[in-house]
Amino acid sequence: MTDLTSDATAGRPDGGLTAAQVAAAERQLMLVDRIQVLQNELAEWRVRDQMSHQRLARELNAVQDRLNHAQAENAALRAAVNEVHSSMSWRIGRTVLLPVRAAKWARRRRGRTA
Amino acid sequence: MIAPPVTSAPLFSIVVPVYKPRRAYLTAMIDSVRNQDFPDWELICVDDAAGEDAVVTGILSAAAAADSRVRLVTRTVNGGIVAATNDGIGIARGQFIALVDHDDVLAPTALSRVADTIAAVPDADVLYTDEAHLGEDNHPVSPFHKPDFSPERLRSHMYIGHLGVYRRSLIETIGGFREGYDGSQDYDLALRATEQARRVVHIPQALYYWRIHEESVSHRSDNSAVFDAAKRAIADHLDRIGMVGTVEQTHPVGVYRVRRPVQDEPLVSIVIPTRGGSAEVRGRQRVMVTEAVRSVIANSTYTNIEFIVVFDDPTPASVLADLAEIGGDRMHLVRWSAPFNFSAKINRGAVHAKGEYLLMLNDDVEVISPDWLETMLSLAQQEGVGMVGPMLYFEDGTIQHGGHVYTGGGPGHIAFGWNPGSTGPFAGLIIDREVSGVTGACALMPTALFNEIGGMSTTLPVNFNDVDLCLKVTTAGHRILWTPHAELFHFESKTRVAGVVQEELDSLLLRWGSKLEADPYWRFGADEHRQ
Repeated sequence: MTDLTSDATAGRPDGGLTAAQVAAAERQLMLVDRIQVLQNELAEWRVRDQMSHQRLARELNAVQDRLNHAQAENAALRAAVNEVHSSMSWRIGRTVLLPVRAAKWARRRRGRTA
Repeated sequence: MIAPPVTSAPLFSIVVPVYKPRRAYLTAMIDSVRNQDFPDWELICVDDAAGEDAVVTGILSAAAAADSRVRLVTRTVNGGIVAATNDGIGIARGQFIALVDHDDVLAPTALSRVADTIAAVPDADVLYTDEAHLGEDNHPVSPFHKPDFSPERLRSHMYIGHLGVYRRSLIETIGGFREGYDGSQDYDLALRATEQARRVVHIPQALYYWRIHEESVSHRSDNSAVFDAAKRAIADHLDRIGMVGTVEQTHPVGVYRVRRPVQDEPLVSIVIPTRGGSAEVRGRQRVMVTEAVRSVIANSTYTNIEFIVVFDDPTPASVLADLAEIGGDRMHLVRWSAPFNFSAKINRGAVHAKGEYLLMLNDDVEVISPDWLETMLSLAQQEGVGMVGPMLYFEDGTIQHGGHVYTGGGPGHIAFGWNPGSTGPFAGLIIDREVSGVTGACALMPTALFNEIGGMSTTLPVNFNDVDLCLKVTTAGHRILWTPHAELFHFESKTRVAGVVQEELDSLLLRWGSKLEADPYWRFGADEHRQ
């Protein structure tokens, strides 16, 4: 068992993610989500308010502003999160391959003794 | 109606193999074609009884004499439905082939509606409409409101049915109907045509009436040859598209399942948010999360898994100790100290996930099917699939979740509260099929996709976060599948008071309102829901 009960933001005792990495990864998930939310909201406003142009312009501008901010922050965060994903990829490879190899080795062993 | 001049290349060639029909039914079919409000068609009737039935021959000859758009082909020997239909296709001049049975009836607007759709979707190669049965009293009953193109459903049963319209050049490319698939020749054709079609278009209107009577194929006592042909057609389809799997019939009415092997045994990260709460199940108090984990370990045949349990601060230390003991090296405990936010807790777990696949799992579940993970994983590994959900049952065995349905401006569970064992309308609860979404109580998806679409929206802390996630998955171009072959209990709302926060619903509608109006995959009305 990996015990992270002290605090997830204190990092993983098994050499996993640091607190900063966890925060960056979560922040980027949130930003990617926010960008999509705002893009959808823009589209929905266009659908809903085709007949009331004044309201459309006000809502569109506000949502567009928020979208621009989110995209800018997301771009700035990209490098940090790429680093997290690189770290995760290495660990995924280790976790996936080792049990598979172990299972194959066990099957070969059983084959020999059968 | 005034017959227009015959063009050399009509838009539609309606091909009808004719073999010993009831006279009244044949006449009704011909009349329904001649009464179309769209004139640009030819009707090709292929008399497969080799002119032996003088009355039928007379009806066909009279129709041809009365309307130059009606063409008659008389086979010299009885060849069966495949040979007869291919003969008709062989002389067809239309850009599109519409397939009609000799005892069925077209709605008066059928061809005009299809023509309108072709004009709107010029690259449509295969089109199909909804249909209804026609009882002995000539009244339409049992409308089948079909889904939009649903390739996974098509591997489970021949749902395209009537009215099926195929671009003639496509039919010629694939070689028409194949001998050896009699009774399921239309299923075989639909599979082969949709594999190559640029666009498959569903017209959500019942424009074809399928007559049910004693001589119908569906009323035969022994249809085993038909079902064998269907299984071969599906197996051939798998070979052609490079999908590894075996086909089995799972229901007497002609419903099939494709079993696929899991590729490469990937690690699955099971993320479980919890507060470590207890509740009564089957008359006994239990700690929900420890029993959920215990059931996954004890009842699952798939073993390459890790648990990431994201627990709130108040979770009792004894629960954490039990989890550590039950999960061993596969257990990872992640603390959550902020206010409750289901989405944020799932995201926290996903950040720690090492698996290629992420399984979101509520802490109030219990595994029923030992191969549930293999079943879901083998579907999730198919090309273009972004998420997979299982069948969930309440404690009393009634259905809690048969997929999501997004219609009428809001989301809901398909088959909520229905009796166990229900097949659902048109086999909907016993087949793998595309859905608009699945519940976050148990959903499997590639971890990379989860990250790519920004995980769960933390702006939806309690409700609809799974709906939002599903809509992000499909908007990103991925399919979502639901399977009845992976089954779990979901003791819903035993650990948390359910409630809809209006603010969350408003949020959902603000971002997805237009996608919550009409579900493309589940279009059954109140009558069908009561089944």
